Amino acid sequence: MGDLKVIGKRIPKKDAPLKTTGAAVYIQDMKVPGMLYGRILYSKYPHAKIVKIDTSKAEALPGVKVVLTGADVPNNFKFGFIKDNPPLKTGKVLSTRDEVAAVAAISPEIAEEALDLINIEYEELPGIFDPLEAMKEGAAMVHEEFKSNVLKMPWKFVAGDVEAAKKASAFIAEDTFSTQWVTHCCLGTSGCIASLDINNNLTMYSNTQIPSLAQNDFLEALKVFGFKNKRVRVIQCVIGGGFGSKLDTYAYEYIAILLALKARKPVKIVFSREDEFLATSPRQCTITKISQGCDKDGRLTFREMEMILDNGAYTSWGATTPSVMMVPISSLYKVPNIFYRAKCVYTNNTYSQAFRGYGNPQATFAIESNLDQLAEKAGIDPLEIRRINANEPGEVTPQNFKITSCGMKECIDEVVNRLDWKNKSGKHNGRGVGMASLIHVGGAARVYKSDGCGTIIKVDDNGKVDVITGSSEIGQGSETIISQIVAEVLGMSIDDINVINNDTDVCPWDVGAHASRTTFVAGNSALGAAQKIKTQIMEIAAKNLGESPEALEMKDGIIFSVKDKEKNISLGKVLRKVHYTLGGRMLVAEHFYDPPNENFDQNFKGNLSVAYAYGAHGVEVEVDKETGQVKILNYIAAHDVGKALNPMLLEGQIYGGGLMGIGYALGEKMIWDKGYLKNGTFLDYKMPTVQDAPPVQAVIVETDEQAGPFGAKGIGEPGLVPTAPAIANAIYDAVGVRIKDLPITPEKVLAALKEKEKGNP
Amino acid sequence: MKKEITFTLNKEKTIMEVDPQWTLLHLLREVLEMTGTKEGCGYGECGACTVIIDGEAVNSCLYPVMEVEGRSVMTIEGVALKDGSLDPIQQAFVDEGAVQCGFCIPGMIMSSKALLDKKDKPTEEEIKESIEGNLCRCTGYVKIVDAIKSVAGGR
Amino acid sequence: MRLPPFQYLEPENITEALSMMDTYKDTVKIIAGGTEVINHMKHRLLSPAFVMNIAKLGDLGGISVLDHEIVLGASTTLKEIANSPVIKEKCKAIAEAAFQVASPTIAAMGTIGGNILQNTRCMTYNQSEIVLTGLDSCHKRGGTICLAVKGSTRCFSVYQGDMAPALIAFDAQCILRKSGATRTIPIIDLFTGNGVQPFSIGSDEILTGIIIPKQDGTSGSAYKKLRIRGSIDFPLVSAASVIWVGADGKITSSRMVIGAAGPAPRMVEEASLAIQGQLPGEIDLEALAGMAYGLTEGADNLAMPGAYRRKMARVLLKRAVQEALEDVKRGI
Ligand SMILES: Cc1cc2nc3c(=O)[nH]c(=O)nc-3n(C[C@@H](O)[C@@H](O)[C@H](O)COP(=O)(O)OP(=O)(O)OC[C@H]3O[C@@H](n4cnc5c(N)ncnc54)[C@H](O)[C@@H]3O)c2cc1C
Ligand code: FES
Ligand code: FES
Repeated sequence: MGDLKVIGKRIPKKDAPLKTTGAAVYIQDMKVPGMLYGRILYSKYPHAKIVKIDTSKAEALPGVKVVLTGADVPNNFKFGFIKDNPPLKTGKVLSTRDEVAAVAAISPEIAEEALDLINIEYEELPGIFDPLEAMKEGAAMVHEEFKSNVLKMPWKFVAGDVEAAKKASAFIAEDTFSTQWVTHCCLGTSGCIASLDINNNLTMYSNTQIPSLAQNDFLEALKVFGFKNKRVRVIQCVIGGGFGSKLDTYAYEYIAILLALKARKPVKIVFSREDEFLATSPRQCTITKISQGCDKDGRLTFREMEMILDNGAYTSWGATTPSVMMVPISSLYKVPNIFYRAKCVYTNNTYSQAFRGYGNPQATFAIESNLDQLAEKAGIDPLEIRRINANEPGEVTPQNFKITSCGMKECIDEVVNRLDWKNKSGKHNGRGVGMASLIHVGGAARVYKSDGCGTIIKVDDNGKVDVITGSSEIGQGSETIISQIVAEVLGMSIDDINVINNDTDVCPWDVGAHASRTTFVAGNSALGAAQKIKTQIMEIAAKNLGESPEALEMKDGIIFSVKDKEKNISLGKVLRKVHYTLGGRMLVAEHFYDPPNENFDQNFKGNLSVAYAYGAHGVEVEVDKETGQVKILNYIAAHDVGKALNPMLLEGQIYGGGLMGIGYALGEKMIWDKGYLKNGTFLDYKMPTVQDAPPVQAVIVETDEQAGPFGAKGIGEPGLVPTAPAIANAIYDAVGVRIKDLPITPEKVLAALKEKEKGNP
Repeated sequence: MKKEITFTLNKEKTIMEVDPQWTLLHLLREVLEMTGTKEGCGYGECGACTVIIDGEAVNSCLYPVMEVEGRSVMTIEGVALKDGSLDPIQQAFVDEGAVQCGFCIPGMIMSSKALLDKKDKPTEEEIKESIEGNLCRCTGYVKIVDAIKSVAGGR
Repeated sequence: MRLPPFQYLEPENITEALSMMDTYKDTVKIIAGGTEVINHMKHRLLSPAFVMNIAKLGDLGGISVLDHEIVLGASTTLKEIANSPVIKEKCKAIAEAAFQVASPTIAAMGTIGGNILQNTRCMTYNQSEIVLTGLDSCHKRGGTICLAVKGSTRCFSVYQGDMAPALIAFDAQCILRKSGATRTIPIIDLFTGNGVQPFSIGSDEILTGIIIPKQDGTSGSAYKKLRIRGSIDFPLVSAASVIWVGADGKITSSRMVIGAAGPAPRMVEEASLAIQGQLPGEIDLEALAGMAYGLTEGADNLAMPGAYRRKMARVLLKRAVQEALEDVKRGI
């Protein structure tokens, strides 16, 4: 790849100075002239009939401009993945996060006070909070009209013949694993400002991770509200964390629009921390039955998994996470025979959504925990069973994934060496080591018909470059990565590159910041555009210098002849030449990159991603046998990233993902008790603090992915995927107890130790 | 019932009519529109609202505005120099890659600055203690600690 | 989150403060560091008509070392206590407890008085307002039911302050003043044992100071706290111990206290009796620890199950005693 000037360097994030001085403007900080403050009233009960709503007192409160209830939602409008969710509920509420009324007032304080004045009479109904209960014959229906609590989504993947493979297997391990509800905990809460012009064109200031899709959602909503042929402009403020939470549009956004329509003024809704805990959509809990088998040499013969997911009361993208769960289920290690089936079940709980890893952490927890069980049965070192079955370049997996670059073995080796595995494993003396691997989409994921992203590059007279991209900056550093790519191609400093990425009126289309796809797709898109603009520049310079374009090079804003450096022209001059010439032109290039990946066919086969990301995590723990507390002594996170475009930002993703995974493994859990959230505060929801962050080594393995921009693959999500099983496996190695239900809390470990003492497995 | 308070805000003498019901955070963000100080929870549980009062880092979301009387308050807006150049701790956060979404960062900087202003060479333990009330969801804290360390060593 | 409306009182000196207390009694809420009061007002657990700020009353701050005692002004911040060389040296468990409270920012604002007098807590009481509106009023919110222990006729809220157990272990007293009268009582007597009304302080009284008596002999002390995270969290159970030995190396006296065990800290008196006169090496730690178990209430109303917390009371007490004994050894 020659000598790279900007790519591969530890370049600080472009927006960091803004963020360290407090100058960055988040939705919380935004004000629009004349704006009102909206607030939402949530249901008192998880399941109830709304008998009567009296808003008269709230309406009478000075400063209150609009009060809305479900009756004010035009034309039975519903949103969500299968349009089962009205922004304000009528007739019945199905969860405690159900929106029942909303107000807009001249101050947040008045809006809040107004909520207290809304009187709602409910008739409480018995609720269903356990997906297993909800699946039982005769269970009450969460949505009567659907006639079943099981969603009509046929999540099923079959390859080979599992039954035959079972018979042929030398060893089989079977067990059941479960995971908990966890939430994103973005430090910046959700929020928006809806502003309509006199013609009811909408401007939405938003936090969304999916500007183009959100634009479309809002357009559709306006249509249903009776405003056809309108324009919607989505402007993103600086986003205080995403992690998947902003991959859908939500009730609050439609409510803001409705309030703004009625008030004829801009309306801002920003969630309080309590709102954020209650009314955003978490990672769902799952129950997984798994069995895996191997032959006498430890080669995997089959993998069988049945999974039940709590969908909650409405359907968002959470219901589609089985599609990504299939990635590890079908393709983590070489397994010829696969059976997988998942059911998403309606309950009266909160409803689930995308969250970093998109189902992969739940699936990998079961697979990798169970793999250690199998290794034990087969009498093989857990490390060896992973080496024997590791994925390799050139492989085509049962789901038809075409594995290109694959550094799984290298990642495993890194873990083994850095943990000193050979000396530390198998001691059972209170200290132990464990590991788990991962596969994830690393070259986008074709979830929608398009998986594309557009970039426009324009160059101005002073030789500075504007890159207008469809991709979103959600803290991950896409702005910086894109600048680096363009700077590399054009031989410029990244300070000369300005990225515009937050306005659908200006920016090209993109499907959103998900599936770890931004570096890969937006990066390739920017790369294409940069190459096109470079060609244009070189042609013009060539004409001016009387050289052929091939004989020229560009560096630091100067285009020169390779043979004779004296023959040169500055980029600024080239630009002025094209503008100030009769019949002049602009220097603009556009590029739309849609990766050559495939949608799944009806059997869930297809090369979902152009490349796959791999990794392995290893951990050494110490278990306090008196308290059951688990201390992480050492943590290795090795990731095959293709090529590290910016190792500093990359490590940031690995560290951040890793600690999120540790929280998932050891402490975080939303406690939903009969539909009520019991721990909806930062005090009670145990997101890790700096004192909970163990020593982590981020290890970068480079495999040079041919399809990636400068060889890169995605890394946004993988950091938290194998964390929980690695820790569970290490605990088993340390004290011989296996915790199969996340999070692994001290009381569970202690109880398991007691059982073990008594001689029960 | 409004009352008048006099205090120093980012080195400038400030006289304000305030409502005793306000917290300092409310005064800063809503009244003075100094939005660099963030509200992550409003209950003292996340540290996003951290400011320095008379040398101590405190949670402005729990700080009654009346108690500011006579004190000296420093917010994130008062950390960088007037010419826009960054304080060494801010520069370290930038250079070490300690910033992701950035929402926790003003609070992190105020907490660590309060420490560094008192101690030239804090230990790693002291560094961690200084930010143990500041939650960050993005970074896993590693690079934040590194950034503070780099300043601590460099002084 | 807005604060509910109140009138703000700012007495200039303690006499004025006491007379205001006398006038407004139950309708006034003292605010010292405010870390609990403001938090609870935002959650609508409190909406007093008057809020009286005592943070700036000069005579309530500071640590004074006298011949026979150490006196902590009620408004001394937890940070001052945690960093005080004399407290660290003479009353390590108190410094350790202060050090482990919440986070440094809360410790910089929070006072020792406010810490001692913090309300009892329960997962169904200390809730976000949106959740609370959906729940019936429990004993502590003026109702007649307990949401944590179904069918209970009493409140199971838990006192989760870190300082009181450590202070009680040092046999600390508190000074309570009202207009025209002052009384000094052991801190343990401040507690009623009733979760609804955890303190016996009068509605016209102000806590002005804490007296830690000095005692002869060599001592060691320790404070142990169970929490899920390494910071921010309240104790889910805690143990403090102080042990004195005489010149002959035998234990002359000891005090052990379990915190976050119920509506009040509990002294493990039986344990103190048991080791009286013993040499440190003779102590049956497991037996001592067992005595903590029965004193701990195990309602499922905090972040960890009650049954587990009870078991941990045992482990923490053992460890607190162990560490205090090591301290003693070092001291001799
Ligand atoms: C996020 C968070 C985490 C926390 N973690 C912990 C923890 O781990 N451990 C712990 O112990 N505490 C914890 N706390 C509670 C914290 O509020 C106390 O530790 C603090 O010390 C209270 O002191 P204050 O001065 O702020 O009290 P205030 O809020 O001012 O007052 C508390 C109570 O005491 C009364 N009061 C105060 N001073 C006097 C006086 N002189 N006379 C009479 N009454 C008085 C007040 O009226 C009020 O009822 C935490 C709080 C928060 C917000
Ligand atoms: S906003 Fe003050 S601590 Fe979270
Ligand atoms: S950088 Fe996002 S919360 Fe810290």
